[in-house]
Amino acid sequence: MTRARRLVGVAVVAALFGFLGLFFALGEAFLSEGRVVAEPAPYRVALMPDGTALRVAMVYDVVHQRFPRHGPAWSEAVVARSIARVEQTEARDPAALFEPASLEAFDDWGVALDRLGRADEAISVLRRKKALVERRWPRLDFPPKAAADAVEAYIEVVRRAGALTPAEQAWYRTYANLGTVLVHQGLRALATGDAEGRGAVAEGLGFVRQAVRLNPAAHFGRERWQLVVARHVRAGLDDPTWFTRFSAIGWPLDAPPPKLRPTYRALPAAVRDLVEGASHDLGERWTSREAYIPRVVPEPEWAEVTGADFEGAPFDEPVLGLLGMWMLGGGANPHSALALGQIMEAMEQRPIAYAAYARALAMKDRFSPDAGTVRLIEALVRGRMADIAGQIDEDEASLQAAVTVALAEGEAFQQAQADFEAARAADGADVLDPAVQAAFLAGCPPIASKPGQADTVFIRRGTGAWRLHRLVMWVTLWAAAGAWLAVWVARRRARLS
Amino acid sequence: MRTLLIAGGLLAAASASACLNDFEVRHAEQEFRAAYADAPPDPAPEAEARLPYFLGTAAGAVLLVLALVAAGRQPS
Repeated sequence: MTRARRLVGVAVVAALFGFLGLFFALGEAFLSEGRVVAEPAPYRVALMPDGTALRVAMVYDVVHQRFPRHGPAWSEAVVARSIARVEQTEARDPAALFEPASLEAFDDWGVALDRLGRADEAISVLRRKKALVERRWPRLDFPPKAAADAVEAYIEVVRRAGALTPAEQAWYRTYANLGTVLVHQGLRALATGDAEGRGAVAEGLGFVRQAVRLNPAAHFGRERWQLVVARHVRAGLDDPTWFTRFSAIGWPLDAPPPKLRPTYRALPAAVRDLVEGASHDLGERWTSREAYIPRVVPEPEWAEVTGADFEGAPFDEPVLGLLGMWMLGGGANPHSALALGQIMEAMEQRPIAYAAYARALAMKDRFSPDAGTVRLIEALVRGRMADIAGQIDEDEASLQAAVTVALAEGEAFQQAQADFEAARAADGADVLDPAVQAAFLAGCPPIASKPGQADTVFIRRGTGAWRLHRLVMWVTLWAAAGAWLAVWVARRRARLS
Repeated sequence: MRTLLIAGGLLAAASASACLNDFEVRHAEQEFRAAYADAPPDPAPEAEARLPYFLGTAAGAVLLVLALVAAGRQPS
């Protein structure tokens, strides 16, 4: 055999073995067990760089009232302090009332009055503040329309939030506070049959819209969700069946919620970097959230009728908005509970969904004074609860008992805080002193739940995870083995002949 | 009846609406957020070590070349 033929023969055998090596490499990759890696869920990337990222435990705690909440004594102390500050400033130098610190005292005063249920007085205080702001900054330029590109618009909003002028700050707070208090007062008036409440609601929503225009990023977008919920409720004015058909996020009540829990095959390193604070790239933040967080999309009919500025959003945004309204606003309400129940069910957080539905049922009479409407809503919600119990193979009695226990603990905690504040106020202590709050919190076990693993996604790596470098190695090694086999066979044949 | 229906829905919504701004709001939000701060997420999975594969490839390539050399030197 000539040298050339030997070399060609060895090369051909090596190529054939290399081809076998290719299949070996692919088989090894696909048949390997792989390993499971834990990654932070994409919704742990907060919408705003310094904002709150959702943890599922937050929903559990808010639904069960397991969070600190000041009592009436605290609000009374805020009122007294604010009045003193305004009066002292006015006596010293009336012109100083226009200073931001004085204007903020009006905000504290009005908000505290509203929390005490004294909306008429709150409106009077906040209208007085508005008059001061108008005199100090009579002209207010609203920001230009946001860029058409979503990423650019988001970056503009974030940058703007950190650079509001004193005039914009003063107007924003005035619009937000006066708007909210007017809505509160109008809704209370309508609830007692006073049709003039409509005017207050309309005026209040107009102010809240102005606040959102001035600073759409404020309060993690809570104002935006306030508008969404308010428009949902306003739609109920014209259609008594509305609340039997839709929740406050525009999902139908007569069907199971859509599934919102994706199975991730991979997540980019950017998600982890943003969660850990290793990246501050605003564009990455927006695109990561948009790409990887499941979206809540309302029914077209709901969106059309309400006219709400909400065609869909990553699910954590309405959740955080609803939680914020519950905690920092008027407290528990059936609309928020129902919407939270739907989103948690969609996220397969079934016990929390069950608890939220149970809370909505406990407040069911607040959906409507019409017994038939309430019965219909109750039947639909009970259907969801029964489905959840079946899915997690638990009997409803034990699920309900768990809700009752957790809620009792939360309510007892909040009552203890209110009692503590009242007692300290009676002793002459300044309950607004952070040390007083710290003393209360130090004296009781933490009420917040541990986040646990609920906000972690587990991704299996290895299965199907072939890589070029692994492939090349196996092909080369198999080709080398084939070549040496061919050399050995050729030598043996030469020896035998 | 219609007024009653409106009233019921609105009474429920009254507590749903709140974007109040006072000195306490930011503090309350920060406290709330801090209550859920936990240990940092598990460390990032290490990238698959590539060196063994590069060494394997190099070894295979050397063996392949040596096989061809050996085939070329073999007496006819």
